[in-house]
Amino acid sequence: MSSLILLIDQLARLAIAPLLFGLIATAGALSLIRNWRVTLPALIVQYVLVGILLARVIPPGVAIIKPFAGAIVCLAVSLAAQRADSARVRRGESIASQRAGRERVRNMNWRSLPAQLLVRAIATVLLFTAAFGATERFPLPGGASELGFAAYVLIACAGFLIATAPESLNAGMGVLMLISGIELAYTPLEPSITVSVLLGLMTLLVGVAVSYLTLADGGALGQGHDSANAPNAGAKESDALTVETPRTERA
Amino acid sequence: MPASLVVIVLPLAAGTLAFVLRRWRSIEVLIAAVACALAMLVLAQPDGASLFGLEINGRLDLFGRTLQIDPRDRSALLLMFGCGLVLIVASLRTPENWTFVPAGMMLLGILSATLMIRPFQYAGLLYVVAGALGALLIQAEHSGERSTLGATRFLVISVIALPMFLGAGYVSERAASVSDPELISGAYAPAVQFLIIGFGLVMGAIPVFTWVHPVAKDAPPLTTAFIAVTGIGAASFLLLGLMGDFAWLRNAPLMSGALSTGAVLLLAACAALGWAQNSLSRVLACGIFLEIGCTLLAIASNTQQSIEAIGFGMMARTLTLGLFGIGAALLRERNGGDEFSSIRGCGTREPWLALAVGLGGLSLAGMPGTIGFVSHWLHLRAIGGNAEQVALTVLAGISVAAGVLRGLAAMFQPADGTQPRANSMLADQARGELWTVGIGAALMFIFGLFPGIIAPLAQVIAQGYMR
Repeated sequence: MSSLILLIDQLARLAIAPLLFGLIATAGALSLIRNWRVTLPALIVQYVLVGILLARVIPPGVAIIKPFAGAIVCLAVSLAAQRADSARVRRGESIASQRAGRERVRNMNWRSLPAQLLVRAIATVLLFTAAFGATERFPLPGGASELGFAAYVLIACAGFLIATAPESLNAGMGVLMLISGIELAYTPLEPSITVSVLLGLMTLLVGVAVSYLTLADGGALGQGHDSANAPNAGAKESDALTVETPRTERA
Repeated sequence: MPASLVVIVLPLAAGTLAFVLRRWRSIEVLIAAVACALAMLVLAQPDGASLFGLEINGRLDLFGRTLQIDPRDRSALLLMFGCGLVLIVASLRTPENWTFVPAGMMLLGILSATLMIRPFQYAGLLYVVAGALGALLIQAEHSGERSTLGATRFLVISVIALPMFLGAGYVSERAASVSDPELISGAYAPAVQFLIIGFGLVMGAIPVFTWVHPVAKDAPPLTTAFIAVTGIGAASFLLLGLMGDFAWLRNAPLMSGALSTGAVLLLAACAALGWAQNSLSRVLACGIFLEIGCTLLAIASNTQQSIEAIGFGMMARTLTLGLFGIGAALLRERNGGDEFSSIRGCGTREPWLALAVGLGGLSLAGMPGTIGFVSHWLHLRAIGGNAEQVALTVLAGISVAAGVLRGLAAMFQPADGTQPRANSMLADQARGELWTVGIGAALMFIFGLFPGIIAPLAQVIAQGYMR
């Protein structure tokens, strides 16, 4: 544990640019791609980077809470996503298996990329530009401009992801990214253990809720006994059976 | 031991225990009811009394933050637990999922903590926790594509509200050092704006369509009622408390203006859409819009009468939304949905469900003789000076009543052959439902005709916040 804290401390002393580039890359990946097998590892990397950035303003022993909480949340979400995919495969409506994913990438026509992906790419570039502009025009208080830029990037990409992703898994990852952005913005203002612990606990609880909603979205909650209280439950089920392309694999 | 610890831990512990014993419905409801009753007992003790060694005004320091029951919040907390108790007991006869009692009790504990925590910006963190619990409560056990919109929206809104509370806290702490009287209002202005947005999001007021409609559509009706009563109630009392504590918030013209504008927008949306809805859950959502609109107008007035109206309104909402929710939940169970097209013929088969939906819905709209009428009367009296707002409130009520009447008319239309038939029911199940609806309907009339029975609690709440 102490060696991990030491590592975070040493990484936090490195130049800021690689950290920010890493953060931009992970935020961009989350905004562009809708496949959880790609986005969840990106989210874990993002948590590590956020932890290192936080270690620049709070003690590394406290900043490490963020990557730990993030890793636990990502583990829970990945288990839920796996179960949801399995449920889809069992119902015969999903091609979300790893083998099918590899086939799709192998057979993809790279000359005609999906329009949605292009739109998301353009929007993401615009968001990065807006985040950079906001850092210059409306610097966040606290005197840590690099953290301000990181916070703007995460909040902007999270907002975009929440607004455009219809499924709970990706919207949930947007919510988790939004919390990271808020933490980066607020921690320099109140660099206390209390805030970090409370935000870490909050991340865990939100992660539980996102995992539960991912299971529900994939139809993997209590297989075979959907609540009678779900309005038009039957209609939803029949609609779902006609879906050919799983929503988690669109990109 | 500080009473605040007990008031928070009791519902959390009861929720955990209810989760363990969730297979036994009656036992989990009993546990939750006992926890609510104990919390009410603790909150009801007079100043200076020490029940079981509990200090009612004792401070609890947790993670460097203070949790303390302010004397003015005691009656509000008592009311919240009372309303939660009624709705949880009412769930005995409805097809609620396993999440209702455990997550509901935990939500009640967290919402009560939002009223106790100091500094106030940490209420934002607690709202995110409440949002996560609320998502479990809303989603319950139903699953499938597009079934998670309500829960996801509720969670997202609570997270978006977080930076508003944190920002307001930071700005107000910085502005406290400004001593120039001419600069003070400007220094606090961003904090006021942050709080307007934060409370608007939490209460489902801005932008107009946030979580209320998706939650009413996706969640079981009694769950919607629970969230509408406890969540909106807690947010109202927190805002009233802040307005009592901070002159910069109380005297900000922007605050009352924004509250009135938000209320007018909600009431206008309700008036325009309420009559045209085609399902009971959407009518319920419009009814909640009406309630939020009235509450916002009352908070904007911030007089003793208006706070009395808020307190009484919360009690009325518990009964009206509870009764409507029982009827709608049972209709959903029997017909697989609550669209008007799918509930045809239910009124003649099970008239007590028509009674629950009709009486609950019309009381929500403010029908004379019911508790809803008294609540609306108090709200209209509080905003009496503004004829346009009064007219809009009445119009919104009429629109909701039209939606309810359309639902009732559909229930008494003959069912066509393709409609699902009611499940065969045991006689004692039907008797139980009949008794539940009968008691709810009787209470609605009794408190509507003799509001003096419960009005003293609303008066005590108002006196506390006006002190």
